[in-house]
Amino acid sequence: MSYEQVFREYNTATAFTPTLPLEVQPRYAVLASIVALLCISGAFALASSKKNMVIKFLEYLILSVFGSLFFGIAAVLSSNSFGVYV
Amino acid sequence: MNTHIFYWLFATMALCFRTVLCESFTPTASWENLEYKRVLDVTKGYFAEKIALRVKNVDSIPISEYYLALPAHSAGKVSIFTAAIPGTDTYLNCQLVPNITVFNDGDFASYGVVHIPTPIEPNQEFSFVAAIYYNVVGIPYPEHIAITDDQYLLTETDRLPFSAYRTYEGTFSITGSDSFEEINLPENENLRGSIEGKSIVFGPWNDIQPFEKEEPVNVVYLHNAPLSDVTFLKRDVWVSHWASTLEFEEYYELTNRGAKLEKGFSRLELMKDQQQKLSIQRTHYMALIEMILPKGSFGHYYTDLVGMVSTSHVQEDHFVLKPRYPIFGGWNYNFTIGWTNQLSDFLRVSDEEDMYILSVPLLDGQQDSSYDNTQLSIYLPEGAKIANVDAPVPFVNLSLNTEKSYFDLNKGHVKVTFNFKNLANEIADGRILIKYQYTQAAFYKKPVSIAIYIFVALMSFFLLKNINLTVTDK
Repeated sequence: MSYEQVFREYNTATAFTPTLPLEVQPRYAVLASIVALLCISGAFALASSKKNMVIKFLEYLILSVFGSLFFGIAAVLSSNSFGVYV
Repeated sequence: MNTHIFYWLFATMALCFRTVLCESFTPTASWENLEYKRVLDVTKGYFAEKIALRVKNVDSIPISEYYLALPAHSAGKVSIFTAAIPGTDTYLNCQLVPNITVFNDGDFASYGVVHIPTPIEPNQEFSFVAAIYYNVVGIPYPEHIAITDDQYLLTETDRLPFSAYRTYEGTFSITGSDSFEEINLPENENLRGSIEGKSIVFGPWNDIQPFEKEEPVNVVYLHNAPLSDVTFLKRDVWVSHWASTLEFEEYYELTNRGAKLEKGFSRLELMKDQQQKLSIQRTHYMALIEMILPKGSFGHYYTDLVGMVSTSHVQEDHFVLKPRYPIFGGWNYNFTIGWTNQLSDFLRVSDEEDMYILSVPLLDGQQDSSYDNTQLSIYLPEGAKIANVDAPVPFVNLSLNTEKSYFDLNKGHVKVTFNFKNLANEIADGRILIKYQYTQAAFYKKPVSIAIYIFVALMSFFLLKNINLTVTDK
């Protein structure tokens, strides 16, 4: 595509809208951190319990998955909140 | 006897013109310049030249290319070369070409080609205005001055129209200063310039042959402003879809090409000069550096090699920096500035699925500055796939690679790097356009990548917690 074609396309395209505005990201970062902390803490507590191994593993797996996902989201949102844009 | 006289006349005529070596390129004599009006503007720290031409096709076939000759001293220093039809917004396609004409005295002419959209028929006329900006400025004259002195610059340029075609009428003027003085005056008074208002005007001359040369013009003019030259600019632009921001960081190596101090620096003399001069009066040294940033910028910072510099302030889109020391002629200064803008001001969503178009300004900086070498790097999010990249001005080279940054756990940000030479502020609004694909999967890959590491750690913890490593005797 030539420069003129891309330039014309740029001028007719719609402006980018963020998935999550930067102003609300600190709030969601705190929420995600809390959920991640609760899930991971629960997982640690479960790992030390005397339950049946299979049930323990399944519950631990679910808590780990959710805890990890919320941790990942919290890491990204927290980083943006502190001005380190990822 | 007649033959003898003929040969002497021929030799004399030949010496008046510049002969051309056989191997070099010479445009065919398809045009004649009916009018050639050249205006050199020395207002800024780089030269801006406008050549208004009325040309006629003297060939037997329609022609759509005009070769505009550029003298040797400006070769490799052209920042911008444009042409337009006067009185309209119609710009013509222009480009600099590698062909040169080498003269027998070792001098040479390079060319810019102006492409006329509709070929001009034989004996038809056509008018256009060429605008050329050079990374060239007058040299300080005298070379050393006191802090309180005015700064004068000397420029040497061609007197007659410099063209590969015959010129019927040519004029030349220099504008942009309150004071002009021609030095090294030619003996022929008809060649000398005359002051008309705020310009010095030469000519008109009639019937100029191709590449005909007279003594060059030497003009001294008042220019009480620093000659800001950025010898190297490293401009980094980071795109973040998660934060919806466009982060800019610029590293400058700056010098003042103006007159040097004759006695060395004196803080007392500087303070006296600053107190005596009104705030609107310009000086030959840089006490402040004013950067014009995109609207809506935030998160500004200013550092140099020593550390954070607190002497700066932001006023709307003006980021005013006060360096640790004023920058006099011949002095250098390097510093880094940075700021952030909303991504929505620069990024558009294409109609094609998962496609985006990014438009990044070529420069944001001082109003009156030239740039010798510029490296512009644009960092697209990790996982972006480039579909198209283009710049509004010619570049030295373009490279594509990756670079890891915070939370880049895969290949890293996609880095697009342009290298430019001889930019000027006139082209600052030019836009680099990048069309790229960034899928939803690539967008969510960042937190998922972090989550995977945490998940593996947690599962490893579970495994280690439930393996019995105690040693017992059975």
